[in-house]
Amino acid sequence: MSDADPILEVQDIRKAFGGVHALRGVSFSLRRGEVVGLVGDNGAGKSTMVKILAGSHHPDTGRILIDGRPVYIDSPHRARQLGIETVYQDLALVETQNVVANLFMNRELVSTKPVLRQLGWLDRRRMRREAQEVLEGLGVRVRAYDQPVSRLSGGQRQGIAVGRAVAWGREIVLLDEPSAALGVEQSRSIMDMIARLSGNGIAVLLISHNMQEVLEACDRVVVLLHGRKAADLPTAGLTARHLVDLITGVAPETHVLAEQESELL
Amino acid sequence: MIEAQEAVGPGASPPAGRPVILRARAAAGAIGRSRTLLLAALVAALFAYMAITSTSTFVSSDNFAAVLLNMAQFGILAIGMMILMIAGQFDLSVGGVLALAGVVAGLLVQDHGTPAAVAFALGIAVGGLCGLINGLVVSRLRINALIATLATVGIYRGVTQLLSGTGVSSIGHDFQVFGQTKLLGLQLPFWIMLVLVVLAMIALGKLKYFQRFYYVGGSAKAAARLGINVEQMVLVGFIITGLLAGLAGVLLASRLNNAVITAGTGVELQVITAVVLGGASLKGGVGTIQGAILGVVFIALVQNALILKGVDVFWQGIVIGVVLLFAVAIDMASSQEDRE
Repeated sequence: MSDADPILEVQDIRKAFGGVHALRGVSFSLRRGEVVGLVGDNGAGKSTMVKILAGSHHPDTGRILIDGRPVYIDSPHRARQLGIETVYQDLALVETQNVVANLFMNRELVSTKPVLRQLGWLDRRRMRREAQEVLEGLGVRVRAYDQPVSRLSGGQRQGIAVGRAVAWGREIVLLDEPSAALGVEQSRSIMDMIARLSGNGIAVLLISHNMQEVLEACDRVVVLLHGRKAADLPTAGLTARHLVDLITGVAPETHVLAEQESELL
Repeated sequence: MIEAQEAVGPGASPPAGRPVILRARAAAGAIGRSRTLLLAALVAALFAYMAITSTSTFVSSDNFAAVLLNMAQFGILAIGMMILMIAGQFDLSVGGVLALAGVVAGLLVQDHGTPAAVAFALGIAVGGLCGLINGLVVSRLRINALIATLATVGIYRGVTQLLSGTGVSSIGHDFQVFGQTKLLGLQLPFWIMLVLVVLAMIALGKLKYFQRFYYVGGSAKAAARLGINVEQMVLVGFIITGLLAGLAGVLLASRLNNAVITAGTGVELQVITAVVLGGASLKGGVGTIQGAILGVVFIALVQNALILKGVDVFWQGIVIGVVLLFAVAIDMASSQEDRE
């Protein structure tokens, strides 16, 4: 399998809630190591698409292929089994639990000894060690591994949520507004993590309202408008202004214009 | 680089010069964190007070045996309630389940000639069934646990009275062994509780499956997004609580050789008080079996002290109610500090 083959293919996904058509036949694909931005106005269908890929929603029609094989993502558990990890906007952390527990939530390491393994006996020492490795590898410095995450700073909590996705995401990582609540420097570190994921051959789908961030981090951008794909084009040569026009549907032909303009420039 | 955390571990003292309000909050949080410690101190203080002021009545093996036996029933119920409260739920029907299980076991022995051991097991199974019903109502119909178990306890009590208007007296010699057999001077229910406490401590502290109760109670949304079956954990929590309430019911019937239809009336107040005192939060996600048992010891000591001091029995409910309010207030103060 070469890097050029898509790891994720989304084909003609439709989803309606009652009479509201959130997605009206959306298709796109991600290659290994590719960072793709998914943008659109509120209600364009971005979050519905993320929820479908993360296993929280199920499409009415359409197919999802991973590594060329059709898959049915019927639960968040299944999505994780398939190697899809999601960093949710609200981070999906359990505030009362410590850093290690949050990193290993539902993927706890258990003892390797025969009977203890059957019982699911937790290997806390190994989890603590590996948690430290993962987070330090990402440049997230947390020295209070035994503290509930409610006591950590916003940046550290973000780091843990992203670290969890990085640690377990074997194929695809979905990032839903990862820097919405962050300061400049912390957003910077998220960008570094995205680069690192991509470098490891993992496909990243970045949902963001921050056009600068999308243009900087992504190789390509998919624009949703009223539940349809309005554009799917490389970020090279694209400006924030063009992207905003595409999102608001002001200039449906923008990508042609963008090419012409970039030639002119 | 994401900013570094200065404080290391829970023992770190807050940096000097912090605003007073923050320090006060931190102090409230510290009390919350060391609730188990505070409770242990309270238990010790109450014990010392009783030992000094009522030496002759309090410090006797008969009295200790009575306290421990009283503990057995609350302890068994508190294990289930703690697991359920960790999962963010609770169960007001435990008293009704306890009575129903005892009456079913008693009737089976007396009217149907069922062997005592089979009746004992079926009584526990009835508890499990009640727990299953509670769990289904809460997890599938999505009815709040307070309303759901308030409704089901009415149903369980009603069924109990329909089955037997007067209860079952003198159940039978074979049936008495479970509750009355003595080991090292203490009746079997106490030893059963002790074994269950150790098992539950290991399960909640060490096993992967039971860890999920903490996730589900801490944030059901986060747990679901990470692939945990929240409904299943809630259901399992209610079934465990039901089975334990059933066990407490058959043990009580066995010890008294008598299944009383009003058994377990008001027991939920005492059990929830013990469990919240022992570190459970109404918001879920926290608590330990050690804490629950310490809470049970405290409540059992309070009850014993009130009896030995000749305080009218009606004061028990008042005292335990006040203790519950106190425990909930501490919980709210500490979790507020946590969630900021």
